[in-house]
Amino acid sequence: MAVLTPTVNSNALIAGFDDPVQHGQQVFRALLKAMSEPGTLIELELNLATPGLLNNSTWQTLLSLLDADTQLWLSPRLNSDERVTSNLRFHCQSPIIDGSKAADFAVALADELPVLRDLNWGTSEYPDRSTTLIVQVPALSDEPHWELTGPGIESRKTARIAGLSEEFRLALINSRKRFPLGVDCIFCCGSKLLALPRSTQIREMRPEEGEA
Amino acid sequence: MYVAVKGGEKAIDNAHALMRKTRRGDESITELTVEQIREQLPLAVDRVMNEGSVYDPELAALALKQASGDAVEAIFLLRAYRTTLPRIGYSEPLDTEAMQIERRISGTFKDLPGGQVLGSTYDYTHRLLDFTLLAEGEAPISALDPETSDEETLDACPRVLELLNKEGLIEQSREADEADHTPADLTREPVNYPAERAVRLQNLVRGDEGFLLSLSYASMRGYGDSHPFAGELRSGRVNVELVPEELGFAIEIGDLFLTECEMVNQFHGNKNQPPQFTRGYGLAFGRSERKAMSVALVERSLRAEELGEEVLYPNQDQEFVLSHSDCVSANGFVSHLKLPHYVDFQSELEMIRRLRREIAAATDEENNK
Amino acid sequence: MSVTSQQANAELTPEQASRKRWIGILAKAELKDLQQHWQALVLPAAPEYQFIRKPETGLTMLRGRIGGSGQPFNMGEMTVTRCALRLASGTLGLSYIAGRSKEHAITAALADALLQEERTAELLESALINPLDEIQQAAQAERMREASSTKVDFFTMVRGED
Repeated sequence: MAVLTPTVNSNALIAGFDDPVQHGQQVFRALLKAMSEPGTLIELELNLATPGLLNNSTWQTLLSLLDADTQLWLSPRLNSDERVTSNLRFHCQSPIIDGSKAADFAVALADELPVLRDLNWGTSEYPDRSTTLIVQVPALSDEPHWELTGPGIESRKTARIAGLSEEFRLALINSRKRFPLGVDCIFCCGSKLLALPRSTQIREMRPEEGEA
Repeated sequence: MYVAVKGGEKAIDNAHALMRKTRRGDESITELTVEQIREQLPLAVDRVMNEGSVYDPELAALALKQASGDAVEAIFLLRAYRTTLPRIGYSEPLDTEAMQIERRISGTFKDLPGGQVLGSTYDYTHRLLDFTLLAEGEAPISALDPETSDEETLDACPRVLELLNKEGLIEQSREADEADHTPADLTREPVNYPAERAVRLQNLVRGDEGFLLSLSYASMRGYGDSHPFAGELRSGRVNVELVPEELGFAIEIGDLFLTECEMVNQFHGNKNQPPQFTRGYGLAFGRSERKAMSVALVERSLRAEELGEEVLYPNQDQEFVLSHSDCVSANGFVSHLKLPHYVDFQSELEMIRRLRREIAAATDEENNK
Repeated sequence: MSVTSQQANAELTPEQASRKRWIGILAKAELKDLQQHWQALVLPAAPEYQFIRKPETGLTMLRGRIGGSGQPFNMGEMTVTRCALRLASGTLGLSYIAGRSKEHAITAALADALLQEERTAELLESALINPLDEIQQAAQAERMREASSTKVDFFTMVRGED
C-alpha cells in the first residue's frame, strides 16, 4: 500500500456534535418535521462552529443525515473548500463523488445549483432512491412569493427562497409533473431551514397577490 | 402466514421473569461472570463471534450468558447489537503469513520449514471424561517442559502450499501482477447469484458451523467429488491495520486471534489447464478449527462451476448453500412457526374436511350405482 | 502483504514512522497497563484539549485474502473505538482502538497529541511507549515459548508387511 495524500487535512478539522447521538436525533426530528410539514420554517436550537462556507443549518443537516453509505455531491465552491471536504469526510465518511446523477445527497450554494435533471429522480420501482438536494440560500422567509399546497399543508402556505435562478425555479415547479419521481429539497439559511418535498405543488404568486 | 394477536402482556412479562429465574439456576451456587465465560469457555465465545460476525470476546461472552449458553440465541443477540453501530471503514487485508504462530500443522507434509507446532489442542486426548475436573476443579497447570522450547524457529512460517507452488503443481491464489479488487460486502448489498468467490467466502465464514460441517462431510462421502488434504492449518495472532484518511498511512489498531485452513484438492484438469491441485480456503475467528476446515471444504465444493466440474450435489450449489447457511435466518424461519397461524390453519382444516366430504360423497354415489 | 507494507513504510517520513509505531503500541496495550503508566507520568502541566470527535464505538469490516495471499474478501467485523482531540496548542491527537473502551481511546488520543509536542515527546516516549512496547514483546515471547514447546517431528510408520 502506497502512502496516500491525506484527503482530510487534520489542521482543518473542527468539532462535530458535542453529543452525537442526542444532537443527531434532535436535528433529525427537526428535519422530519420540515419534510412532513412542507414550507414550515424551522429554527435549529443548537449553534455549532461551522467548517468553511457551510452555515449552521446546512452543517447540522449533513451531520445528522450523512454516513459512509451515502454518496455526496458538492457544488464547485464547496468542493474546493478544504475545510468543508475535510470535515465532511472526517465526521460523516461519505464518499464525495464527481457526477451528481449518482448522488444520494447533493449540497449546493444557491448561486451554483446543479441542473435539476442531472440529479437522480429515482425510478418508478424505487422513487425513494432519488437525490436529496440541500441548498444553502442567502435568505429564507414565509413572505408571499411562492404558494405551496399539497400533503402536509392544511390549505396553503407561502415561502420566499432567495437566490435561486429563474431556470432552477421553473425546473423545480415543472418537476412536479413527474411525481412520484423527483427530488426532495431542503433549503438552509443561517440556523433556519425549510423543506420542499417533491409532493409539494409550487405556484409563483403575482406581485399584487402578496399584498392581500 | 401468521396473524397479529392482542393481549397476554402479563403472561409474557411473567414468562420472561421465569426465563431469568431458569437462567440463574440454583441461587446457592455462585453466579457466572462474563469474564469467566470469556476466559473459561473460549471456544463457545469463538463460535458466537464467528457466526455473529463480530470480533469482540467480551460481547460474545455476555451474549452467551444472556442466552443461557444457547449459541444460536447468543449469535442472534450479537447480530442485533451490531446493527446499532456505525461502520468505521475497512481494515487492510489481514496478513496471515505474518501470523504469530501458536499452532500449525499439515496433513500433507511431514517436514515443514518452521516445523509442525501442535499448540493448544484437543487432538491426541483420549476423550475420557476427566473426573478430577468434577471433584476438585481444574488442577494447577503444570509448567511446560522447558527442554523442548525452541524459540527462534517459530518466527518465519512460509505457507506450506508454497512448496507445491514452486513446482507449479497447485493453482496460484492470484497472478503476480494482479491488482486488488474491492470485494462486495453482503452486509451492505444482498447476495446475487452467481456470487463471486469473495462473497461466498464472507457468507461461509459467518455460516452455521454444524451446517457446514455436515455439508463438508457429505462432500467427502460421495455426495461431491471431493478428495481433500489439509494442506495447512494455522492459528495465532494477526495484527489489524487500517488507514485513517486523516493520516494517509496504515496504523495498527489491535490484534486478533485467527485460525486459517488451506485444503488441497485434486483437479483432473481441462482443455486449458493441466492436472494440478486446487485450493479451498477457510478463515475463522479464535481457535475455531472445525469451522475453518469446514469453510475450506465447502468453499472448494462451491468452486465446481468455476472449475468446470459438474454440479450434481447440494454442497456444489451456491444458492442452496449460501441462502441456507445462516443460523439467524434459519432459526428465525423455523421459530416463526411458533407464531399464531390460527387463521391459516382454520382454512386448511376447512379444506381437508371439504375434500373428505367430497370423496365420501363420490364413494357413496359409486356404491349406490 | 508484508512486502508491500515494508515498501509503504519506506515511503513514510521519520516523523510518520515514529507516529505509526507509537499509535500501534498505544492501541495494542492492555488497558490496565496503559492506565498504570499514564497515571504515573509527571507532565509539566495538565493537558488542555477539546474533542474533535468524542470517543465513538463502531465496527470495522475486517478483510482477509482468499487463500491467504489472493484477492481481498470481507471476513467479519470487529468493534473499534476512535477519538480525536485538539490540544490548546492546536496539535491533533487521534486514536483507533480495537474494542469498546472509551477510556482507552481518549488516553491514546491524548498520548498521540502529546507525543507530537516537543515539550512532552521525550517523556512519553521513555515513560509510556517504550515500557508498553516491552510488556507487549515479553508477552509475545512468552506465547512463542509455550507454542514452541509443542513442536513435533513425526516419524512415518511404514504401512503393510514389509
